[in-house]
Amino acid sequence: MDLFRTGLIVMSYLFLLFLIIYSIYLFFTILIGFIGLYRKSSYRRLNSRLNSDYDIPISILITTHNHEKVIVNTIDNLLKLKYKAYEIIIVDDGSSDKTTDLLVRHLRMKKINRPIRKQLQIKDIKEVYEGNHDFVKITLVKKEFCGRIESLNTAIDIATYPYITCIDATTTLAQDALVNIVRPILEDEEMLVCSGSVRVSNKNEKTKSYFLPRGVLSSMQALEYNRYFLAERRMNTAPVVKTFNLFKKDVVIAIGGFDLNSFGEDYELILKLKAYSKKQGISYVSQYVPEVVCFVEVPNTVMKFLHQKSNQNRVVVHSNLKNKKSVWDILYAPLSGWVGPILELLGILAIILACYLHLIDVSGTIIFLISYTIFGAFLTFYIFTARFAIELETLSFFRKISIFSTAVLEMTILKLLTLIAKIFSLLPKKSEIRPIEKKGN
Amino acid sequence: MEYNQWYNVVINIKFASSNRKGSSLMHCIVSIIYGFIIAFLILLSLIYKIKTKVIHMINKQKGVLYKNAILEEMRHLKKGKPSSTEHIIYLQKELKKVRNLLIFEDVLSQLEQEDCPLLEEYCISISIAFQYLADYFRTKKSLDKAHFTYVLSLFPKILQNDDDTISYAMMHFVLDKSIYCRQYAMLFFYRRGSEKLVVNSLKKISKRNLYYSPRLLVDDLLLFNGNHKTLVALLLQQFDLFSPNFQVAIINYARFSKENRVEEIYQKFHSKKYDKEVDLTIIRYFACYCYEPMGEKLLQILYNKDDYNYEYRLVAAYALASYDTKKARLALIDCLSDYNWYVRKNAAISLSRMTLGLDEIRIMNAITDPYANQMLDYVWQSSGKSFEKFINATVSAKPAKEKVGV
Repeated sequence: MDLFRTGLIVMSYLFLLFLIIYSIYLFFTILIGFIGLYRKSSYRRLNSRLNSDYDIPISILITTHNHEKVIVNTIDNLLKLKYKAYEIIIVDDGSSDKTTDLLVRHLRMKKINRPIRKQLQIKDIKEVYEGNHDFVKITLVKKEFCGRIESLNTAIDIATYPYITCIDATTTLAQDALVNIVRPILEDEEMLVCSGSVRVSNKNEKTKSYFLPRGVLSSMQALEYNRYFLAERRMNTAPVVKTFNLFKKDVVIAIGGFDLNSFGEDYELILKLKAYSKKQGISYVSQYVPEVVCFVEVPNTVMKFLHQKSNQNRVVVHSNLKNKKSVWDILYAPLSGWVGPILELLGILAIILACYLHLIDVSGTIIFLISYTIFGAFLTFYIFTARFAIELETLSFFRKISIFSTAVLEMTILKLLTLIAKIFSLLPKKSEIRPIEKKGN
Repeated sequence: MEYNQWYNVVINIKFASSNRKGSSLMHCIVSIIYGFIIAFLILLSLIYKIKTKVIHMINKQKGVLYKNAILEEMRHLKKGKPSSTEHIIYLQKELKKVRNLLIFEDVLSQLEQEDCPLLEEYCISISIAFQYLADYFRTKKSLDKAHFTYVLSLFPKILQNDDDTISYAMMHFVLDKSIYCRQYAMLFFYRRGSEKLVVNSLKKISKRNLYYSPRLLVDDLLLFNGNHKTLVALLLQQFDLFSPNFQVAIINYARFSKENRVEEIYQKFHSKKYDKEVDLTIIRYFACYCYEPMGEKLLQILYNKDDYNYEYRLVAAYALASYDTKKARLALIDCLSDYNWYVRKNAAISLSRMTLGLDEIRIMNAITDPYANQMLDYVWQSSGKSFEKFINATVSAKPAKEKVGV
């Protein structure tokens, strides 16, 4: 019994120590993020010249499955991009709704017998439609349902331009997204991957605004995304959120595209590219572009959120194990993805139990936990509002309170839900989990 | 450790944890530290906010001061007097700070938008000040240099002659590690319109192996304010002094600036001493400018599969669309059965743009290669027609001596 109580005490204190270490880590990442934002503002004037909007042709690849409500809006948004050299490739992965018909009618596409040069392992295609809209070539491919990964590989095979980016049917790109994301390629043609930041935008909200979306869960995720892209990302940690990337097509084909056993996420492709570069003795060149380029929908119900997060955790662990380059890679994935969540859960339970049994100082622990939450929430709030400060925009007091409250909820509820999702991800996967069916609004 | 020793450790931990005051104090200390950090960050953002507002106010006032000084100087110039020494010294002192430089640029841009008639004259008159500043900024950090070159690139008239201190300093800026600095320095030269400065600066960049995206280089060369013909001639004259990336850009520049230099460029291809990318760019150039010897060369490329790899053949197939001769059409028909997908595609596209003879159409109709037929079908469909209907319509028509088109 003594041993059990001692164990509880030790676990509790270790967990509190972990929280302290995490808060220190958060503080430094936020500080670095703030400095990065500040530095970026010094380059604002200089960036205006390095835009060459018709030189680096890009293929935008979209996979869709029963997205008739949103696909037309998504394509219309893509056609308004401020860029001249790009094409759109849509792969309809066996939709049972009117996705294809809607697109064909809306974009005035024509059915065509297009020969496909199969460089990746893809199954046969049912129909191909082509259309042109203000010099933007649009290709629609209809296939039997084969899963997102194969759809992506099909799209890669069909793409004609040297750079590709994969987005969902519910993703919206900022108008200057392509202009910003190609800038690193102008500096270095050997660039394999250019990454951009992602923001949350639900219900067709103003994509230019930095305000939080409607819905508590969506707002919490928006803060999480913001913190990741402005701060945590700089520490090269695995992504906890969706990312937006531009890849060099011939290298993606050289590595065989997306693995059929994978989840079809960009992160896996990036790890594969790193492993490939190391094997081939070529330098893995990538760059991050901090300007927001992509807006995504996030789950607005708890179940969908848990589903997405557990998927993400599986992606991180699975990808790291598959593309391990060093001992750290072998250890990192299971530690962060498997062992970490279990220990975290045990730590929380240990604290609760230790407090209940008065094995540790209850009031002190509560004070610490409250101050830790406020500290973490403040840091999240700080980096979110720093963008406004640097761009000389003002926020009303009410809005600040609203953002801070959401940050508090993000530090508590969202973290707890993420932990639960990670625990769920330890359960074996039954079949290919399609991305959450975002119906759009 | 023995059992007794472990037991003692357990008792000690239990004792320590039951020492409530100790753990409570620890929790409070940590909470206070958090509080201090929050206070520090709030203070930091408050200071930043106040600093930004103050700077904004100062910048506004400075802008007004600069505008008044510039307008005063312009009145001076209007009377036919030379620029005043006080004004030059004032600029030399003020514009050493990047912040002031950008305010100055804002004022000049505003005057430019207002179509101020004396702006050009004023820029020429302050050249001496910028010569001093060019020398000053040469030793500063890259970001400052980049801002300086950015401002100069907007007002290239400040440079009075090609050999003064400004162009000498800019020749150093084009070699800076910052891409912004290099780009704006080059932009300055392009806008200045001096062929000699552009060629010399490009040679320096090429020699140092600094990266200059060929696409960006072509875009920038097309911004050149001077005589494109002269610039193309100079660049081609010194072609061998450039690296392959630059050579590619020069050929593309010649193509997009509509400079017909077929003989000169053909000689380069014929010499076989350049990089593959340069060769391919030259072939693309000859897709726009027909030259009979090159047409023959393109046919050789298509037929000599051993000597030329698929990249040469696919570009040659594309370029031959401009050489509408029987030999070219037959060579392209032959390419429809090439093992390379892209060669087949380009051959089909080129054929669709040519005026096909009846006998050629009959040959195409007789092709049994399914890949070739698939490609032809696709290419014809892309232009809104059916290849099968086209064949049937022309083959079944009375034999005519005239050629038929797509």
